[in-house]
Amino acid sequence: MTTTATSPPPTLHEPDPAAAPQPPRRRLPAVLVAPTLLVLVAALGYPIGWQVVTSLQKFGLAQQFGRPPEWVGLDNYRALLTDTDLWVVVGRSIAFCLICALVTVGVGLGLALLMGAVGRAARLVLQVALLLAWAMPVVASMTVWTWIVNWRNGLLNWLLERVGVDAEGHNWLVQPVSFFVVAAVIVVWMSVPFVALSIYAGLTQLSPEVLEAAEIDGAGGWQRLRLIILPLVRPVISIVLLLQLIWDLRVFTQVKLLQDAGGVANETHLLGTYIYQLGTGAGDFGTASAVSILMLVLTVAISWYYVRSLMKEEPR
Amino acid sequence: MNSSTRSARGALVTLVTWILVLIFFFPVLWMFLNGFKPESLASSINPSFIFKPVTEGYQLAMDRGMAGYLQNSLTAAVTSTIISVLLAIPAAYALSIRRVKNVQNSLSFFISTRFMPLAAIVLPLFMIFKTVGLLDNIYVLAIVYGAMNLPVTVWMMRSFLLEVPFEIIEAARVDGAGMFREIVRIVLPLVLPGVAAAALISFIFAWNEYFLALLLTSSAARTTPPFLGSFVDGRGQFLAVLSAAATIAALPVIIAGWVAQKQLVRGLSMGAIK
Repeated sequence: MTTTATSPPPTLHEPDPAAAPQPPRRRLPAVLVAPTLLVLVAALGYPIGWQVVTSLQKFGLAQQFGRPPEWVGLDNYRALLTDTDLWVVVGRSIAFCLICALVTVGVGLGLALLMGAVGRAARLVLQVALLLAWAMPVVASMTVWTWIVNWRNGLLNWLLERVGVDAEGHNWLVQPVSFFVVAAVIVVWMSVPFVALSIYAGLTQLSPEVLEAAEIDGAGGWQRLRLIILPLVRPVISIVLLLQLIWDLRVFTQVKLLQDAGGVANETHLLGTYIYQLGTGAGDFGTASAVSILMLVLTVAISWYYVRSLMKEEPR
Repeated sequence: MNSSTRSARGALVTLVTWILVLIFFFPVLWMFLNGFKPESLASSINPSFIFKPVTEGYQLAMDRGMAGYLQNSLTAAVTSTIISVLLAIPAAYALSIRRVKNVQNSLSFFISTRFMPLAAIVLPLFMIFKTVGLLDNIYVLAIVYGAMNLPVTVWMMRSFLLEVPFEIIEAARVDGAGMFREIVRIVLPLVLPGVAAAALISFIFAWNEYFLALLLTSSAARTTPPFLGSFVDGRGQFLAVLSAAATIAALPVIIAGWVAQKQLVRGLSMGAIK
C-alpha cells in the first residue's frame, strides 16, 4: 500500500493494531468477520462451484429427475462457441448495457446539476420524486409502463393520436428495435434516481469558495462545469457508471415482464432472460450453466477495474 | 450577466425541474389513481383523471389472496434484514474500527460479491433447493436475500463506522469497556441513523425482489412481486386490480422512503461513493 509510506508515524492517540501487540485480541476481528464470510461463501461460492461443475456436464430434464449427469468436459462451451443465437444475445446485452448506462449517467449528471442550480423547494420535490421512482417495486412500476406502451389502451398511442400520428393499435413490443427502446427508457427511468442522488451528494461536497473564486475570475457556467465541477466529481461519476454497467448487464425483470406483455421472447432475450429460459424453459442446465459462467466472466472483467480503482482511493 | 436574464434562466431551470418531477412522479401517481377506478374505466382507451373513486380494485386484489403474499413478503424482508444487519455490524466493526489484518482483501471480496450477476447463481440455488425439498419455503428465500444484501450492508455500515471519532472509542477503552460493550453502548448509538438506513435499504431490496422469488417460490411462499407479475399480459386487462395491488405493494416502501429520505439518500450515496 502506498499509504503506509505517507502516513505519519503512529502517535499515542492513534494505536496501530500492527504495532501494538495484543495477542488475545488480534484474532478477535477475524472472528467478527468470519460469519459474514462463511455466509457469503455458502450462498455464492457453492452455487458458483455447482455452476462450474454443471457446465461441464450434460444436464437436462432427465437429470432433474435423478438420472446421474453425464460428464462431457468442455462440450457445452464448444457448442456455445458456434452458437450464433448466444453471440447475438451477448452482443445485444453488451450494446443494451452500454447505451443504458451511458444515458443513465448523462441524465443523472444533468439532474444532479439541476438540483444544485434550482431553488430549495423545487429541489426537495424533485428529490422526493426521484426517491419514489427508486423505491417503487420494479414490478409495480412495470405495471404502469406496460400500460403506457400497450397497443390497445396505452397512453403512448393515445398521446400520439392526439398530436396527429396514426399510431392506433401499434404494438411497440413486437419489433425488437422498438422493444429495446421501450426497455431502455424504462431501465433508465428506474436507474437515474440512484445516479442523480449519488452525483448530487458528490456535488454538495464541493466547496462553494472554489466555485465563487472561479466566477470572480470570470469563468462562465460552461467553463466552471468543465474545468472545476466535472474533474472534482469524476470519481463519483466513474463509480456510478461502472455500477450501472454491471447492473444493466444483468437486467432481467423489465425484459421478462415486457416479453410477457407482448414481446417476442426469442427475438428479445438478453443474457438474464436467456439463461432463465435455457434453464427453466428448455431444461438445459448444462448449457445454461456455461452461459452463466460466461456472464460471470464478463461481469468480473467489467468490475475488476472498479474494485482496483476503489482500493487505490481507499484512505488509511 | 444582468439580473433579468439571470432570473429568466432561474425560471427556466425551475420549469425544467417541475417537468422532470412530473416524469418521475407520473407512473406513481397513475398507479395510485387507477387503483381507485372501476375496471372498465381503468382499461378504457381514453385515460381519465377525474372520476368517482371506488374500492373495487382493492377488494378484487384481496379476493385473490393478496394478504397472504404480503405476509410472505413481510416475513422475507424482515427476516433477511435482521440476518444481514446482525451479521454486518460485527463485520463492519472489524473492517473499520478494530481492523482485521487484511482489510483490503476482505473488502475486495465483499465488493466483488456485490457484482455477482443473479442469473449466474439462481439456477444452482433452484436445483439445490429442489433436491433437498426446500423450494417454496419463505425462510429459505429470506436467508438467500439476507446473504444477497450482506455485502451492501457491510459496505454501507463500514462507511458510517469510519466516521466515529476514534477519541470516543479510545475513551471507552480507557474506561475499561469490553468489546461487546464498546459496540453496543458506544458505537451503535452513534451510528444508529446509518444502521437504520442500511436496514431500510436491505428491507426495500428484499421487499421488491422479483427474480429469485419467481424461481424459488410457487404457491405457499410466493411473495408480492411475482404475484403482481402474473397479472401482466399483452391485453392490458385487469388494470384496476393490478394497480390497486401494486399500490399496496409500493406503500410501505414509499412511506419508508418519505420518512427516512435524508438517511436513504445518504446511505445510498455512501454505498456508492465510499
